Amino acid sequence: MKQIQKSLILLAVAALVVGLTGCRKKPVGLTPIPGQKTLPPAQEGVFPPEPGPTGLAGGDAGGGAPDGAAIDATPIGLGTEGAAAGENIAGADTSAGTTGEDLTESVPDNMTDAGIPTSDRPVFDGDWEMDSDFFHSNTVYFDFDRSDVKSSERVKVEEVALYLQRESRNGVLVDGHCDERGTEEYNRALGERRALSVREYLARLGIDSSRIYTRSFGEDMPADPGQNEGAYAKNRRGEFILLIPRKP
Amino acid sequence: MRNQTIRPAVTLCLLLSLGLSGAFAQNAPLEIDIDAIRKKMNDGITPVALKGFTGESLSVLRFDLEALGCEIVDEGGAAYLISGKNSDTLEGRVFDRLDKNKQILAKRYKGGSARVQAHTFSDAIVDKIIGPGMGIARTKIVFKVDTGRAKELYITDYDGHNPVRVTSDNTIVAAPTWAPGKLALYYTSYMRQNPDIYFHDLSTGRRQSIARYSGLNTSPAVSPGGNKVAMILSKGGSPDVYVSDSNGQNLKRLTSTRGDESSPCWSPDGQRICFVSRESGRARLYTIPAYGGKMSQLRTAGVSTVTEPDWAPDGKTIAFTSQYRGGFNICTIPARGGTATVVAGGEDPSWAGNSRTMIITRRIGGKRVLSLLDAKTKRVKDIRKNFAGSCSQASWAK
Repeated sequence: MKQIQKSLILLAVAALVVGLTGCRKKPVGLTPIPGQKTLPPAQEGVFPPEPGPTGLAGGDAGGGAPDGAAIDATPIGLGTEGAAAGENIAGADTSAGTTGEDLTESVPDNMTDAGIPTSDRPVFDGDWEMDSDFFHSNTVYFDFDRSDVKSSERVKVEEVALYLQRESRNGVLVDGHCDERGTEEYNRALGERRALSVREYLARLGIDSSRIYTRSFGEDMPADPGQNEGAYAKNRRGEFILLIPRKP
Repeated sequence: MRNQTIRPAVTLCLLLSLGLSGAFAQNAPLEIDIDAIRKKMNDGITPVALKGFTGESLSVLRFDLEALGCEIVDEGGAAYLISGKNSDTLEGRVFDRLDKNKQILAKRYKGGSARVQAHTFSDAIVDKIIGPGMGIARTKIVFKVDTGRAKELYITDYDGHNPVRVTSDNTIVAAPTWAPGKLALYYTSYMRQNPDIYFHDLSTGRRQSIARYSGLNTSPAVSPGGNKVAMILSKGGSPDVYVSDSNGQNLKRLTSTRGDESSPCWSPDGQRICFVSRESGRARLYTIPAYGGKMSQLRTAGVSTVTEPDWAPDGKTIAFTSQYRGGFNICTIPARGGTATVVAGGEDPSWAGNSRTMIITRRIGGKRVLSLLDAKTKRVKDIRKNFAGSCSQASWAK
C-alpha cells in the first residue's frame, strides 16, 4: 500500500510539473489539457467536432442533419422506370405438383414451380376503372400464417370466377392482407402469397391469369385495428377489386 | 470484498486542480470497490462516473455511454471517472481508476450544438474505454412512422433526436434502407398504388423507381459496395429474391420457390445473401450466392419461425427475429449457422457499424417503439419518443 502511495505522489508531482510547464507555453486565459498528443495545435487548443463517421453530417458541426429543404422537396422524375426487361419464366415448365392443394381443376399451362408468372406491368399502369365494393362479400379469409385457400372459402372465389367468365372483358385485383402477429416484411410477402393463391385458384377455374392482378398490403391496412383473435381473423384476408376497362 | 482507500489519487486531483482549474476539485477521500467493478466488467458492463456536466450535455453523455453497455454509477464504483464542464464549450477528461487514476483522455469542443459536442466527446470516450471504432453517437437512422392510414419515413440521430421528415406522400411507405456511405435511401412506397421500390437521393430530392413490376416489389437491400440491390419481387408467380444493379437494371432472379421469400440482406463481403423462405412450410433462414446458385438453409437451433435477418458488418454474426406464441425475440447466430442466442424481446434488428449495437422495434401497449440493443450486455434502451404514432423498420446508416 505504501509503495502505491509513494508512486502516486510521485506521479502527482510529475503531472503538476507537466501541467505548469504546459501553462507557460500557452496563451493566457486558455486551459491547457495536458497529457494528450491528440490536442490540436490549431484554433488555440479548441477541438472542432469531427464530422460524423458516415459522412452524413457533411462536416456540419451544427447537428449533422441532412438538409431539410432538400429532403422535403417534392421529388421529381417519378415517371422514370427501372428495368422493364427482366426475365420471363413463363411457358414450358408445367410441373405444378408441388402446390399441396387437393384441387381437381385443370392446371394453367404457364404454371411453374413457383407459381404463375405475371406481366411485368402493374395493373395500375393499365386503363382500368376499379370498383372495390362489387365483390365486397367475396372477401376470402385465411388461417394464421397460412396462404392456402381454405375449402370453406372456395365458394367465394368460385363466385368471382363465374362472374369473370360471364364478363370476359373485366379483370380482378386481389389484395392480400395479414394480421399483425408476424413481422412486417414477412407479412408483406405472406399477403402477396395469399393473393397469389387466390389468383392460382381463379386460374384453375379457367380464368386467364393475365386478367388477375395481385397486391399485398401486409399488415399495413387492417380491416379491424383491434388486438384480439376476432380482429386478427378479419385481417387475414384477400379482397377482390373489380377491374373494368375504361371506354376509349 | 476489498475496499481500497486511494487518498493519493485524490491528492493528485487536488494538485491538478490547483494548478489548472477548480472544476476538478474533490474534497473527500474516495473508496473504490474494485471487486464490484471487476465483477461488472466481467459481465461486459463498464461502470463509469460522470462529474461536473449539466443539462443536455449530461443527458447526452449518459445516453451515449449507456447505449454501449456503460452503467452510470457513483465514483466509488466507477472504473472510469469522466469529469468536465459545459457551457458554450464542452471539456472533459477521463481517468482510469483501475490504473492509478491515470488520465487517458482530455478534450475540449467548441462550435455546433451542445448535443453534437457531447456526442463527439462520448465517441472519443467510447473509443478509449470500450474499443476503437465502437462509437456510434453521430450516426443516423431512418424508420417508418405510422400515423394511422398513412406511413411516412423520418431520419433522426441514432438517439431519436433531430427528426427530419423524408416523405410526404400520404400513402404507405415501408422497408427503408440506406445506400452505404451515401445520403440516399431505397424504400418501398405505394404512392402509385402498387408497392414499388424507389431510390431517393436525399441531397437533391430526386426519386426514381427501380422496381415497378406487377405484384410485390419490396425489401430492398443494398450490397456493401453499393452497386447491387437485392429485393423481393413476385412477378415470377411467387415472392422470390432478385438482384439488380443499383438503378434496377440487369435484374436477375435468385430463387424460384413456391414458398414466399422475404427480407434479404448481404454478407459484408458481398458474396452471399441471407433471406427468409417459407419453402419448408415454416419461415427459416437461408443463404444463396449473390450471383446465383443453390440456396442452403442456415441452422438456427433452438428457435423456429425466424424472419428479418441482418448480417453484422464484421461478418461474424447474423441477427434475426424469432417468433413465439407470446411475441418476438431478437436472436443472434454465428454467420455459418448454429445455436441461437436470445438477446432481448423485440423484432427487426438493424446493426450499427460497430457490430455491437442494434436498433430494434418493440411493441409496447399497442404501439411500436424503437430501442437500442447492446448485444454484449443484452441491455435495451428506448430512443427518444418523438412521434405519436408507431415507429418501426429502422435502418442504421453505415
